[in-house]
Amino acid sequence: MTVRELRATLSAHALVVLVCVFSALPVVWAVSTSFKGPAAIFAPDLVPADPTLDNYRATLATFPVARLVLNTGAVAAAVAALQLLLAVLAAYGLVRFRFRGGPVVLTALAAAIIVPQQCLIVPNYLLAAQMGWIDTYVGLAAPQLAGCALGVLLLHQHVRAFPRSLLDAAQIDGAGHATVLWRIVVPNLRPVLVALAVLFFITSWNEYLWPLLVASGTERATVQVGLQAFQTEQGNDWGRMMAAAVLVTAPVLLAYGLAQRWIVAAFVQGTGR
Amino acid sequence: MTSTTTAAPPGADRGSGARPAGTGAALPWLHVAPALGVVVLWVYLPLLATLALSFFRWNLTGDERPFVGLDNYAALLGDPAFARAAGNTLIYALGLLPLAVLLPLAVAILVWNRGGRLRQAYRTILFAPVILPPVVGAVMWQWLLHPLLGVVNLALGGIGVGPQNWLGDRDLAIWSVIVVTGWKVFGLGFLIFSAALSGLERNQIEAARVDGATEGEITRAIVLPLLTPTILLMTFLTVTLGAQWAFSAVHVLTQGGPAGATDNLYYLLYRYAFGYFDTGTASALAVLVFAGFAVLALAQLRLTDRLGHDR
Repeated sequence: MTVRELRATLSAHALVVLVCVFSALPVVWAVSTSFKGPAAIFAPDLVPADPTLDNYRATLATFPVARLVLNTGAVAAAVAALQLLLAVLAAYGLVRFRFRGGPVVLTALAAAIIVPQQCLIVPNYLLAAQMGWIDTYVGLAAPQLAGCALGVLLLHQHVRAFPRSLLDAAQIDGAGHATVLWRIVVPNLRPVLVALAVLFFITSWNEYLWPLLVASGTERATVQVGLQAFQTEQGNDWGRMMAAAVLVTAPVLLAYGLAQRWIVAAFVQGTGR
Repeated sequence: MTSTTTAAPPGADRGSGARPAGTGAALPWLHVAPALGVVVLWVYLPLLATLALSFFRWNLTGDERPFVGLDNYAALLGDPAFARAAGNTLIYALGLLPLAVLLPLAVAILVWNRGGRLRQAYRTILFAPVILPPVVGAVMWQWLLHPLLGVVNLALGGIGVGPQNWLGDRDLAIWSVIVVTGWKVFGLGFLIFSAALSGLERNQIEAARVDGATEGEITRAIVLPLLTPTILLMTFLTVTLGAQWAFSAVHVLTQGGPAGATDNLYYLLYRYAFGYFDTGTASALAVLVFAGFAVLALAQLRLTDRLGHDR
């Protein structure tokens, strides 16, 4: 390696490390702050001189971490599973049947993806209220199901790429559509379906505006709504605030560490590249 | 989708044809009805309802709901907050471009090219902000940017720069919110560019390297042209969705303030609807936002398409 190349490589690493610091700093600093007592919170030390668990003790006493994580996780899991089911059915239906209205349905689903969510909140809120769904899990989950449209669009491509002769042969052998779909198409698309499920789950987990409107009570609150409520209560107790933020971040980062490959694959496929 | 659709075997089915006899006409609809149903119920009907509500004056709960024609639209267009929010929406869309497109592109190329054994570690760290819930990220940033105790000001003090009121200063606040939003979007852009890079054919690049081309020349002459569709996609997403991405950060950090400096159309819509409970004006704004958004999205799609085909 020439000196010039070495210098180029080193400066490349320097820049990338700098950007890594930018990416990691909020979480790292939150962890650091969460272990500092009231007197040390002013100190710019990364590693607290006199680490304490007081912030965690005080936070856990009033901040329902488990409840929030369970609420968010249960809703996200249900939403992801249902979205996946709706998307698989629709994608199969659109590809395997030639019927009047098929192309219109596909266009309508594709166009729905780009409608900004904020434009729909008033009528959606009214509908949820009319159904008695405010502060319920059903109310939290129901409108999110419309997100299945993205899944239909993605899966449509995959089902279409399926060798048609294989599916036709199965049907000539007497297999019905249900058998073809669940025994042939779904098992073969497993990697795509896993990726899509991860994408749906994370999207729902990170949903904010809708839960803010329909689940502001603690009983059904999600992680983000709960954290914001805690912030309003705690005002300027930054030690406790960061402890709360770290507590709700931990499961996310843990899951990310464990399933990193799937998560990354999900985003790569989900965003179209 | 490119990576996956091109994986189709040569004789793959394009559109479908023959059905074995005996399948009822209802069968296709049984398959698509659930998906279509939720989309109609939660997207298309609400869109129509929004349009209808925009012609009435209503406070979301009251019994009185007089028809007011276009009054809500007139009130909205006469509200200085609307003009400011519209201008800010543009600033969000364009201001995010460096953090959503340029920097991720540069870093993705550097990591791909020279990352070596650290490549995987870099990717893990740089993508992590994407999966953190936006409010959690915003709350953490609020502490970093705290005017008195924040580590950003402490660090700047160390190099002789006085403390800045990052979120309270009218001129600074919107850029702070853009950085907080961009912190998250950067990871997404980085990942998308990294994925596109790992899909490139190495042959051409290796050949150029053997012929003595420098890394800079290879990047400019081969890599960037091949990445053009991805760059256009990321630019399209950022310009179209930038102000929407900022929503959580705005809500946590500034609530649109100080004095509307960080407001945007989506946040204004939320405030009209659930801050002032002015359902009619909120709906009028939703209609305008949707119309503008649709025109912008279509124009961009067409432009992206044309630019993409020239390559």
